[in-house]
Amino acid sequence: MYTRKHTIFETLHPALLLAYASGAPILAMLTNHPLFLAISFLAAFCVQTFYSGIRETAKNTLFMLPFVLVVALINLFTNQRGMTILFRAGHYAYTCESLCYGIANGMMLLTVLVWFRSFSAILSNEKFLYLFGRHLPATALLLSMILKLFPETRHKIQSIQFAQGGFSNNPKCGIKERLKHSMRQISSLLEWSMEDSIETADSMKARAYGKAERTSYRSYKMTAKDRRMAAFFAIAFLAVCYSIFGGSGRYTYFPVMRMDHGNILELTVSAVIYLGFLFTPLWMELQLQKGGMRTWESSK
Amino acid sequence: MGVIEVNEYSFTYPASEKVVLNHVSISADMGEFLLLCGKSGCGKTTLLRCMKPEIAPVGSAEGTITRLSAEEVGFVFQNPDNQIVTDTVRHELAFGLENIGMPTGQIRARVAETALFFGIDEWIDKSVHEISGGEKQLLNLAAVIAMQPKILILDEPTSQLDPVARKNFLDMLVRVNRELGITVILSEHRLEEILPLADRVLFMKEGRIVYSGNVSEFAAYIFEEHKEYVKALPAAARIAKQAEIHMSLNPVFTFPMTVREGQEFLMKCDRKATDLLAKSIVPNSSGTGSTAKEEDARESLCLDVRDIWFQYAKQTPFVMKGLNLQIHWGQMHMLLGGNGSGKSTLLGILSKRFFADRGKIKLGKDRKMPRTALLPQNSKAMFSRDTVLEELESGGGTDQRLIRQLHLDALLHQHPYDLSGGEQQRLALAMVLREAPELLLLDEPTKGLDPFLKEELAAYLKEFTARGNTILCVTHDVEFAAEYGEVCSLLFEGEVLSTEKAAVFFRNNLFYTTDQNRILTSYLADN
Repeated sequence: MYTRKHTIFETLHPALLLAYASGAPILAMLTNHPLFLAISFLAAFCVQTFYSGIRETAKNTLFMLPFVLVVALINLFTNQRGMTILFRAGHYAYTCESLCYGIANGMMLLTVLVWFRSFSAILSNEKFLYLFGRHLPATALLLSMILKLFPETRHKIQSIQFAQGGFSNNPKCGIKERLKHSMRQISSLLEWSMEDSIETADSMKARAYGKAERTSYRSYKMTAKDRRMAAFFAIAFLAVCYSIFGGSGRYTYFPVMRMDHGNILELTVSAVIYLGFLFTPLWMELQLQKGGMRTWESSK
Repeated sequence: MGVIEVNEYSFTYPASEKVVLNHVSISADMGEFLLLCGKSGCGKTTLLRCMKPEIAPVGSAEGTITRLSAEEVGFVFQNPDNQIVTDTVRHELAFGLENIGMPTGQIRARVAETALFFGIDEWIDKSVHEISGGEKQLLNLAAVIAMQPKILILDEPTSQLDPVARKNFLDMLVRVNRELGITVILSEHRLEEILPLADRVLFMKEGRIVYSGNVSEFAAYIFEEHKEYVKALPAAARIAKQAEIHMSLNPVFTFPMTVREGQEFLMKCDRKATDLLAKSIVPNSSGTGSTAKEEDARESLCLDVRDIWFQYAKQTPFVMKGLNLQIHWGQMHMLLGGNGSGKSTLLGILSKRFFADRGKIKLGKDRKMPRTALLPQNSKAMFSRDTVLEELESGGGTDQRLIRQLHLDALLHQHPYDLSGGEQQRLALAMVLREAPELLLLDEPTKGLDPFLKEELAAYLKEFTARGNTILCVTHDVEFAAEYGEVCSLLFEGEVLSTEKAAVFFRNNLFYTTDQNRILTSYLADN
């Protein structure tokens, strides 16, 4: 799968990338205001397109669309609340509010899923490890060694199958025979891996492993730009949360759909901030493309 | 006063009578390049490991060795894969520095410097399983050098590498020695390229150092005292010795080591005598061979591989691209070619592990399907039981004669992993031979073997073909192919580009040939 690499956004400190990659889906989960839902879905779609290309994104989104419908329908048929009756069946009334609420919930689910699809593109494994393993160098090393082990083991399995293939390809063998054979291969793999790990251990000792307290070669510094961006993220997050919980961004579906405290100005401002936050990877990239006389700055 | 001194050092493994090291004394000076050689099992590895306290074997020892810290002694092991610890090239370079608690800023600077020195900077962001075996071994060297050792110990570091990677590695080792002034102690089997580089040679036999001194006199010493080790010497020295004997020259003391020195040596000799000598060393090199025996060839055809195309998965590059190859009964057929030329894949197709996407494999005139067996590159992939005996009995018992012939009778109750590389290979060979194959496919059988083991293997294979069986052997080892192959084919990019009788093949090739042919080529061409 194609993933866009070398974006200007990824030059930010990993902590900010984590704040963005987890903040976006969290905010999406907090509200079912149609406007905020629309913004978040649009942003999620655009960001995934930015990272993975339109084809991949469209395919994934279309694939998940039926779930939205299922959620909406389940809600329609199980939730009797709401004033606007669409149709009746027997004793039950099916309402427009209930259908809309279902669609909103389905969209929220879809949006969160789309956000999580971009998660690893935004925050690479290495940076994730850095964030959580920095204070635990032993854990970070362990993870790195495990990551090395996967392809190595796959290679060993292939070699074993290749080497012992002559005996197993015999179609005359019954299932019992074949099972026995597989067990043999697993035992080969275990022995071989253990044997090799002795050499790895020697190599570690030879390079002074355990001699002193370990340090780490990775480092990401918080620069002034990172701090400014952190402040922006924090303000955006608080503003959107305020709007969602504090008033203008609240939305009720039952008994009739309406905005709670319809302060249009406040809603517009928070929506713009929300857009600004979610589209950060894109506008940063565009800003880069404009090129920058901005790089040159007279000292104060 | 040397950087490291080994003084009257003796070593015995626990629960064993055998004295592995017997009063060994070595002193290595600052910046010296020492070559340690000797037959497999003569105690080289034990000696090298004893010099590095962190990985020294457990056992009873006498005598002293200068005690140095882990940073001061760098150690490079034989297997390129197993000594890599982490998952990325960058992290691997930093690993040792992290261990000694160096501050982050310094680590980053040191990693950068090391990467630039070794030319690793171009692939520093790769993961360790994306790089080749040769690159892995370079990385291992770099990771050790990054810690700024005073002395570098290498235990057969190039035995698992192909010829090109081996030369690259040795070039880099010379740079480390000459430019950084790091003392190098290296153990090796293939002396061809290394002898000219070393300052001093140590020759070990049965736990003793029996020769320590000058490189050019080393050859004279071996010719005198250890005739069985002559095969390991560079071709130039061997040819010079032949010249000395056949042309009754004055005794040679300083033998030529490199191809150029060999050529210069012969220039000084009588032209006619040299022509004769060349022809006696490289037999039946005249005539082009194949055409006259066309009819005969059709009779003895075993398999005719026609226009094979193969890819591992859809939309991946083709590994075989219209490959044609004819294999004849009773021949030892050598298949040479670079990494990734599809050599092993071809063996997979012939042994029905893979199936070609296009093309045909036709049987010979006798319409006989040969029973096929394959000896994989890594014998460890074959083992799954606790003793050699169980391993041999697993597939319905093995013929006692075969066990004796492959010298396995003394090892029957050992664990396969406790055997040495050569013994493991013989066990694997016995396991594939119990099905009485008529076509034996070998994948790099000489990897990691010393000249004696190689000769032993070759003798067995010769006998195997003499019984009317056929061998197709994939190898990087040009010298081995030239000496024991009857027919050689060159595989490149999934195609066979030439198939000739061994002697003709190596005479016609300009670069892909043995040192012996390189030295003698001008004397062979003149007729």
